[in-house]
Order: sequence, then structure tokens, then C-alpha cells
Amino acid sequence: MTKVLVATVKPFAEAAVSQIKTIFEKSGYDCRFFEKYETQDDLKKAVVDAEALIIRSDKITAEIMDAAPKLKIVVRAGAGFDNVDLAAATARNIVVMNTPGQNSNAVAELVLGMMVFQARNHFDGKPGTELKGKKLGIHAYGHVGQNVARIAKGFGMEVFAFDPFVDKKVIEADDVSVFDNVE
Amino acid sequence: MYRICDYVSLHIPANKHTIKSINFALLSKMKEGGTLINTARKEVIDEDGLLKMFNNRNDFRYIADIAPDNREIIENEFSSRCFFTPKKMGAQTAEANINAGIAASKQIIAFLEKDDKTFQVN
Ligand SMILES: NC(=O)c1ccc[n+]([C@@H]2O[C@H](COP(=O)([O-])OP(=O)(O)OC[C@H]3O[C@@H](n4cnc5c(N)ncnc54)[C@H](O)[C@@H]3O)[C@@H](O)[C@H]2O)c1
Repeated sequence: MTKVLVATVKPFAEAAVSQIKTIFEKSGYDCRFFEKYETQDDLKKAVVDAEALIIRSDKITAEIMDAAPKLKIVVRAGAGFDNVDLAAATARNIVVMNTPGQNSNAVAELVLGMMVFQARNHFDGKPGTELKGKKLGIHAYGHVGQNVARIAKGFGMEVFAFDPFVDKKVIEADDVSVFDNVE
Repeated sequence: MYRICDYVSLHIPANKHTIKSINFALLSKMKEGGTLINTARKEVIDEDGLLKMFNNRNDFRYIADIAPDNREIIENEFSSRCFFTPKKMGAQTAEANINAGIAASKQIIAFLEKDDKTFQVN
């Protein structure tokens, strides 16, 4: 049975833990959770027989990799991955992945929430302005930018975007106008 | 885009092309009453230029999930025109946490069983 270790100093929410367990159980994997550990030495002992590792902000150094001779893959649940020594992983033939886009709706909702808060004068009781009919420029149309566009349209905003690396047609398909010049 | 929009929301990564690229020269093009929103990265802002913008344009507003290093000066002098979350919280939802855990599990299975390396970063 393939051994998967979920090593998290800051554990996943309970709902996530039970869904992760179910996914691996159904596929016939042996999945263990190693949570709230205190030292890198503790982590070293826990990874000994792991073939796959799921982490959050946990630090995966060359030393940890050397303690896990069977390790084939490390997945950082989240976007940033500067907590994993990529060069050390490559040298040991370990694949490192992140999970891009999974938090983009969360960020986009905060964007619109902060916009309403500002437009209504920090909820101080004084009259403010509405977002409907206003123009919103999205500077970079990636995972978060696309979600911001979708929600802003619900507010009735006119949405524009600048992203030289995304095909114009893709942006226009969302009914968003494209700028070729950021200014 | 900065000239005509009432709101500009930043979603660029921080790299050598974008670090400090949101500077006074660009911000000063903003429409009157414009609001800049930053949930991307602190490093993309030229913080001296940001402060200059607050000083020169009393219609400019800045709201961010990643407070600038000169946060105190800006909050003290321009409190009604700025807002900074107490700590970075854009991704801090139960759903984002669950989604990431599920995605990680599926990616491991896809890699081990189908050699799917779609999300490889090294
Ligand atoms: N506040 C938070 O908690 C939080 C959470 C997640 C992501 N983020 C940040 O939000 C930003 C966007 O994240 P994402 O998941 O949408 O990333 P993404 O990789 O999906 O999208 C980034 C986009 O930026 C574009 N881009 C790159 N360089 C550019 C440039 N010079 N000019 C214009 N566009 C450019 C790319 O083409 C891409 O479409 C990142 O900076 C990320 O660090 C913050």
C-alpha cells in the first residue's frame, strides 16, 4: 500500500481532513496525519517511509528529504512554495507541486468586500457610493483576477483587464474589455 | 486602464518585472477619486511613490491585504482613505483550506497512477 503522509504544523480544517482520508481510502492508499509537530527532528522521523507528502507552510529541506528515501512527491496545499527546497528535490528526483487557484475565490471575495467597505466610508454611518456602473480595472487576469471579474459583474460594474500573457480572446469571452497598455 | 477606471485591483505576481512597478508615475495617471486595491504582493508597490500619491492627491484611496512598511504614517495621516487588513487574510477561508487539501490528494493520485505532472513546480 502506497504510504501518504499529511504533515502539517497548522492542521487542515476537520472537513478537509475527513475528505482527504476518504479520497485516499477509496483509492487504496495508506494515509496518515502528522499534525502540530514541534521540531524538524520530529518531522524527520515521521517521513521515514512516506512515498508522498502533503504539506502546508511546513519546511521541507534537503535534510527532511534525506530522511525520506522513498519519497516521490511533495504537494504544497496552497499557492506559494518557497518553503520547499526545489533544487534539493530535483536533485533527489522528487516532484514538487502546488495547488494553484484553490484560494482564488477567497481572495476575490475579499477584494469586493474591501471595495464595499471603502465605498461606504468604513461603515461609519455617513453616505457613500455604489459599485454598480463603476469601472474596475483588473491588473493581471490570472486565477484571482478572473474571479474578481465574475463577482464584480454581479455588482453591475464595467470590467476591464490588462494582462499581456493571456490571450485577448480568453478575456473577452468573459465579457471583459482588454487594455493593451496598462496606463 | 489606470486613467479611466474608478477601481484598479492588482493581481500580478512579484517578479523582477513587477517589483516596485506600481510607482508614482503609474499611480498619478489614476482617475480622480480612484481606489487602488492590492491583494497581490507587498513588493509590487513602490512605497515611497504610494506615500507621495497620498500626499499629492487627496482623492486617492488605497486598500490592501498586505500592508506597506509605511503603514503607520499612511494610517495616521490618511485614515479615511486607506484600509489594511490586520494580517494577510485573503486566502484564509475554510473553503480555500478544504479545496487545497482535496486538490493535493487528487494530484498525488494522478501523479502516482498516471504520471500526471500538471502542477509540478520544480
Ligand atoms: N492575499 C492573499 O492571501 C493571496 C492569496 C493568493 C494569491 N495571492 C497573490 O495574488 C496574485 C495573483 O494570484 P493568482 O493565483 O491569480 O496567480 P496566477 O498565476 O493565476 O495569475 C497571475 C497573472 O499575472 C499575469 N502577469 C504576470 N506578469 C504580469 C505583468 N508584468 N503584467 C500583467 N500581468 C502579468 C499572468 O499572465 C497571470 O495571468 C499573486 O501575487 C499571489 O501572490 C494573494
